[in-house]
Amino acid sequence: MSKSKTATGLVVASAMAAAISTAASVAPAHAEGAMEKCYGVSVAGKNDCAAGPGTTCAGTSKVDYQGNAWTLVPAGLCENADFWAKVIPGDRAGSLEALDRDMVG
Amino acid sequence: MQFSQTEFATNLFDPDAPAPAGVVDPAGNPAPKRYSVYKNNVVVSYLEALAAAYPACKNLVGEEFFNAIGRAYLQKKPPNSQLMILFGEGFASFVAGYGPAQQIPFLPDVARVERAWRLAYHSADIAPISRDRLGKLPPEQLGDAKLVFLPSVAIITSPFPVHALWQAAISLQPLDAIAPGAAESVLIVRPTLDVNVHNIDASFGPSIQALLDGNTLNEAAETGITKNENFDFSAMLALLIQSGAIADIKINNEGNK
Amino acid sequence: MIGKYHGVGVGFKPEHFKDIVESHPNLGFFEVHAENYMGDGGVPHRMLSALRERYQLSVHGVGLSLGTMGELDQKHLHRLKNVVDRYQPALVSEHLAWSSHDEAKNLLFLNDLLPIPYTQETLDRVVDHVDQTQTTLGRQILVENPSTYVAFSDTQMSEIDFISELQKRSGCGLILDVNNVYISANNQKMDAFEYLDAFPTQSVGEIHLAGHAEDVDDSGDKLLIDAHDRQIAPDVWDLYRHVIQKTGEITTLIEWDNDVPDWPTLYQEAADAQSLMAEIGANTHAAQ
Repeated sequence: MSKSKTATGLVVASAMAAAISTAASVAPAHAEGAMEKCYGVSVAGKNDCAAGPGTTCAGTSKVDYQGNAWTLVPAGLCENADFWAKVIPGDRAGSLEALDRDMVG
Repeated sequence: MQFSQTEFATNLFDPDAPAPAGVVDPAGNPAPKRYSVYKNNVVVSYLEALAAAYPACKNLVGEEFFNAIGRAYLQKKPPNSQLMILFGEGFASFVAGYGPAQQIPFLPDVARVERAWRLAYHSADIAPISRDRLGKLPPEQLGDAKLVFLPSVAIITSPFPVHALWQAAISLQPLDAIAPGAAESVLIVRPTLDVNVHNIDASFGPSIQALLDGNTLNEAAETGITKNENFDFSAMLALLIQSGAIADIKINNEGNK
Repeated sequence: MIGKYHGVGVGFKPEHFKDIVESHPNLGFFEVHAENYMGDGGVPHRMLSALRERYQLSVHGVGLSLGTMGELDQKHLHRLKNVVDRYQPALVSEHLAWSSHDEAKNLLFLNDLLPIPYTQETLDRVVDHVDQTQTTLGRQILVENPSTYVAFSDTQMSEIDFISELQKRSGCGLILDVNNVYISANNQKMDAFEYLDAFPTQSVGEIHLAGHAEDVDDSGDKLLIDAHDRQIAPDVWDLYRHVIQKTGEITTLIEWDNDVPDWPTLYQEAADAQSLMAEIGANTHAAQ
């Protein structure tokens, strides 16, 4: 903060010089004709002209803005209780209970 | 004329809404179940597009919970673009404010990484600055220079181990080995075709953000040092060069601005 | 048919890219959904450029909403023009359907192909929108017959009459989706063969074939769903055979969008269509 502008400018110049020599390589420009690069990194576009799979049930499931998700417990990778004890600090876990009561009540 | 596209469209997002006026079966009878095929198509296609855009988030909370968030998101932010490849704008902010998702406090930051990844994947093809150009920059003018980034570049700073969580989640690895207290910052760059997600020194975050916001190298250096006295400006620049994040460096030799 | 015969093609899926590049299959063209290539850059454009170097393309729009009662979204039309200008596809097409709704300049995109009642008012609208599209793109487009699940009490004319009028007034070409005919015939209690015999096949530039799913309607009757998630049904092959016997060879697309199979399975569907065309279409064509 107390550095003069000139002094900072010098810092920047030397930092850049050091950075250029440190950077072992500059990322290459777009490789031409390397079609193999397209393998395995593709993402499907989601504009389709087909109907959704399944039947009418998904479209008519009740959507309750906050309510119904409160009754759900995250599954997936987050269902490990030990993990939760580590990630959510004690006060946070406590406040979650309070939040839960507020929303339900 | 009974048919109204407004009514037809509005009712699609309401599970309880009846079939619109004039929507019938071939015999002319009311056809709510037939109409609900369209409700299904619309909602399912959006939930699938959301899962495709946020696969790590879905893996973290499971399909049922993810779809519950997705339905609430659809209600709150009705889709406004034909481009499904970019669907999911504002999802991270939505999750951050969504009550039931407070159980997973890091979910919004993982969503931010996934959104930046998606935008990078579809961003314009701009080549990183060449070594030749870097070597020819006038050192005395670098302080007032500004960086031009590749359009794919984004930074996510998080109080959570967001890189480790994202990486585990996309590859369906258990989270147990991740140290929960470790704050991580992520730099996203697509220098060629692959989107790279770098786990970067957290002290680089404020300075890179300052550069992304259009500040000069001088200003970014000061920002970094102010926030963290151990901030290594040179190492940060080396990271930006090596990751291919910089498209060009604009030397302000006209003296304007 | 109208236009050139481009053989049999399949809908391109990125997961098949490696197989396609390495095996260079004997296909006439690849079809893509225009909206999936409206991003600025990256892998999707790299893949499509590589395909375009080796094959003809059919660009199939799924988001223009020709059937909207509001204004056509000019921004989206210009995105479509960018894709068409960049890739110079052999065929450009859209649907007889609506998918977005513009309420006081707030676009609501519904991501589905929604049905319209067949009235003079909707016909005028669609003709105008097809006209705008063809003018902006500077070329003819093909418009596809829909698969539908509901009927409208407002409807004043048959789908065939609507499509025929649309074709005459706008000068567009048509896609005849044979699977859609089969689905709509069941769902609207029509006869699929009669529909095909009345269809203006002289204006068809492309035929679509796909698989469908089965559900039930409000009365417990069979309702077919245009799911594109499995092989083409035997009944749909019969309808296709019926059309080709009448018209000779027509550019044909195999669509498979959900539960996408491995490449050999998809390619086999195309090979089956090629065999059928070779068996019937070429002979009929030669006899004309």
